[in-house]
Amino acid sequence: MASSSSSLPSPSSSSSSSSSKKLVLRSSDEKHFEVDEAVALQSEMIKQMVEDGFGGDVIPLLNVSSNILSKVIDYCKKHVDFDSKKKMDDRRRWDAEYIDVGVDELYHLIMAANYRNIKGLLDLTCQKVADTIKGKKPKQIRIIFNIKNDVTPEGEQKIRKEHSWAFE
Amino acid sequence: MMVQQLPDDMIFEILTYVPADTLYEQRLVSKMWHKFISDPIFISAHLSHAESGLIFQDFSTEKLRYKVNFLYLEEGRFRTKDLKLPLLSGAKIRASCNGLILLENIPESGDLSVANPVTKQWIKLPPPAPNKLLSSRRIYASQYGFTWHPGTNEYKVLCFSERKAVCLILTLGSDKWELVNVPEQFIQLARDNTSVNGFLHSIDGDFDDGDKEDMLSMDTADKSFHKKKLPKCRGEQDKLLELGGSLSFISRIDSTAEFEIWVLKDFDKGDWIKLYSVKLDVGVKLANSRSLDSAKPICCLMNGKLVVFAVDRSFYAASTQQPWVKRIWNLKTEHCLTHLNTLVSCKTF
Repeated sequence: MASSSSSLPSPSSSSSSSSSKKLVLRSSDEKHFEVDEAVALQSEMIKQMVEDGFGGDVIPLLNVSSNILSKVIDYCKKHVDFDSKKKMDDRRRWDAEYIDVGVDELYHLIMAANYRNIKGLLDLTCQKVADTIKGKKPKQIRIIFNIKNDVTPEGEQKIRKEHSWAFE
Repeated sequence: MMVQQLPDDMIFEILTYVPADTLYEQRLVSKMWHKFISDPIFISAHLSHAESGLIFQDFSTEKLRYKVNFLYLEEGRFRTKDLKLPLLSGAKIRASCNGLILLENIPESGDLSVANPVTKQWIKLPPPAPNKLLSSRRIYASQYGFTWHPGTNEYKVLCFSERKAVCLILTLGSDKWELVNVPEQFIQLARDNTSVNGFLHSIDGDFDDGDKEDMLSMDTADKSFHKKKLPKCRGEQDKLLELGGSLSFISRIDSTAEFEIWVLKDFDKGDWIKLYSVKLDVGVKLANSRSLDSAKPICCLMNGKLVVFAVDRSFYAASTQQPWVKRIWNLKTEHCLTHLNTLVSCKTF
């Protein structure tokens, strides 16, 4: 749903009425997205900007590329719908499908959710990464997260001995 | 693999979603991960995401050792995990608070200790000073209380004596027990208490006195005692439980399978609000309808999303959010405690 600024797409959200206020968001690669205000306000950052009287026509999101922004907007639209219906099961199912993405896309979604301060999406993305940590060895974790091992063998010994249970 | 490293504050955020025991196994990933896991600010952020399960001792183990199990819900199934905390025969878990457990007869018979089963960190509580109200230096208690106050971040262990109207209080980090007189009518607190945010509550079930049912409460911060009205009174099947950080009162509607759940909104005003109702006969076949007369709520799971009921010798979890009841096959004992999987330390006070 990305387009150039000259021809904005009409919003497709099922919950929107034609009279509702619109905001335009601009991704880092200069694509424009027109969304209902209610959808954009899922982001605490944008909400703050609007409340502070942000006067511009277009809200620039310097750290978010168009493919990630469109995915983030999908999330916000769907959750505006969910909020009005309160169907927990549907929400969970949709969320699970939505977040079934590769590690790289997950990385960008986390960064976008954090930067734009979207609480629900941040919860969802962090939980997904947290789930991948289960059942893995520290060695595998370092590979997934691109972390350098800076614990020396002596340090490892020390950490292992920190607490011990003596009542067997 | 991630093309870029996540910033430290994002790693911090993500790790607060990882269950404490899983996370503890990952403390060797890097120096930073290890630092997070023992950092009080991280531990407290992690605590706010921790979901509660049940902790119980398995007395069927051989060689005079007790296994300690943790029961939790994962992808719609109840699972038990051995916490690898073998206890000698006679050692008992008496209370659980924010992931810390109170152990009786550890390390020696008559001693009390506090431990975190995830980190295996533990402290022995000091013995109380000799006192003529208590017969020996050993801590003798018929019932315990274990509270955490969110305002002061203090953990307190309470030992009640049922024979004398007194209780001993120890704030973790201090080495002195304080002796507090308990008004006679509040001795009920010693029999069955529910700990919520620094308060201990119990039901005063004096049914002879015109079906009167009050709630007796102790504020462990200023050692004051309070008596409040309960929203309903139905008798034996009534129960006070901690439900997602609030005090709840659960009571069965006579001759039905329905339990009402009231939540205390304001302690000072005594405002109770009926928030949920659960029906135990949804989707499960109970042995017979008479067994409902013995059904009793025993604890909460998943921060109050589920209430666990004992029905005869079986256990069922009922959702407060939707019509959903499931039998917990891997729970065999009523002696279980709501327990949080956390990294809370018993030493940093």
